[in-house]
Amino acid sequence: MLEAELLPDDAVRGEHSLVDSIAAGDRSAFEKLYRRYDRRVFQYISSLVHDAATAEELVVDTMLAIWKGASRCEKTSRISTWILGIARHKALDALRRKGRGAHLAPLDDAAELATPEPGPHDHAETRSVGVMTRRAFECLSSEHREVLYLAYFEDTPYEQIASLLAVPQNTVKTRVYYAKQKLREHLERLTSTESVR
Amino acid sequence: MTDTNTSTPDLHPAALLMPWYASGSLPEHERRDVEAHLRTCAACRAELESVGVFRQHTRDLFESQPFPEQRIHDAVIARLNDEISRNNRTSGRRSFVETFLQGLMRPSWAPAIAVALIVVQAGAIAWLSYERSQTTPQITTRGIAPAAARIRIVFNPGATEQDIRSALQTLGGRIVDGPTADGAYIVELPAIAPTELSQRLRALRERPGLIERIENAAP
Repeated sequence: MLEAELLPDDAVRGEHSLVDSIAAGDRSAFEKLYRRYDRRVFQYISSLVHDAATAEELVVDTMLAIWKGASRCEKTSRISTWILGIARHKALDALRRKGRGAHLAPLDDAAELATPEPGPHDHAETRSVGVMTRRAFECLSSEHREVLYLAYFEDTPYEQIASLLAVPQNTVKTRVYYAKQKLREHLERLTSTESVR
Repeated sequence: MTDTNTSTPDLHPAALLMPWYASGSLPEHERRDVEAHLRTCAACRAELESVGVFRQHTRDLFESQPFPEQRIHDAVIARLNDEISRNNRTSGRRSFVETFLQGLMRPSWAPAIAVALIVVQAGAIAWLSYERSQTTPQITTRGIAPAAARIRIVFNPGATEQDIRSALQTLGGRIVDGPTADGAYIVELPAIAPTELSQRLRALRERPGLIERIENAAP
């Protein structure tokens, strides 16, 4: 997870020199960086847009933006923060274009959202923790999904999440805390609903 | 997002750091503080355990998510190729213009270009000089209108107002001053040719019993 953050300084410098090479038009450098980040960008965008087809398109857009904007990458920022920042920008743009801005609003009362009805395949594996977690995740707001992805999956330090989201560090800490609370509530509600069926 | 839950009065500050304590990404001083707190706080130990469970759920969720690696890769490469070929076309056009201009600036061309410029300049000067010589200068003035004439007229004491009006009509003038101490009126006439003025004065003098004296007045 989050190799760039856990990599030694040499490796971080290596990523910056990769970006420098991309800025000079080096395709093999782009390929290297692409392979490091393609899945992570896809997963991060998925946490925001929650639609696989759109996420695929946005990954392509993000990667092209990296190719075109490599010369503008600031040396002071981490490459991972720069890349995820581009991906975030693309994702939020897509959400706005699709008129799904409501998902960007605070949805701490996400319990009001309709719980997605289980499909025919879901019934067979309804007791699977994975399926329940996925459905509980779908009930969360984009903001809560995003910070859980960054903190729990990417292990991103809170300072960097704050930088990426352009919010104070304390906001990151409380947002992650309450995102987990919401996830637990949805999971408990879904579990109890399924056990009644 | 405006976090409605940014105030956390019932929470230990350490509880908010559990995700990063669990992942080992806390700065050293914070890690030590959290560790010390955990030894004495059962609530935060429970929070840490809860974070561990949901962290694992989240990781399982994202790791199990299908990732269309090849399809995305192909799409990125196709777009990248488009982008590169478009840039090459643009830079190809630019380099043609640059090459042309750079060729002109080569030292071997410089004397020839300088001579050509001198010839062109000399030709332009010669042509302008010829054009000027062909046109006759026309000097025009804005003109100053001839000054209006003023005459002193002493009418015969028996002349009526109607006689005087008639005389002024004959002259085409108007009384601008008078009568003076000797009974003269200053009459201003519009600028007219001297011969015309003489004719009018003569016609006036020929009227019997109208004019006693007539003479030029100072302007």
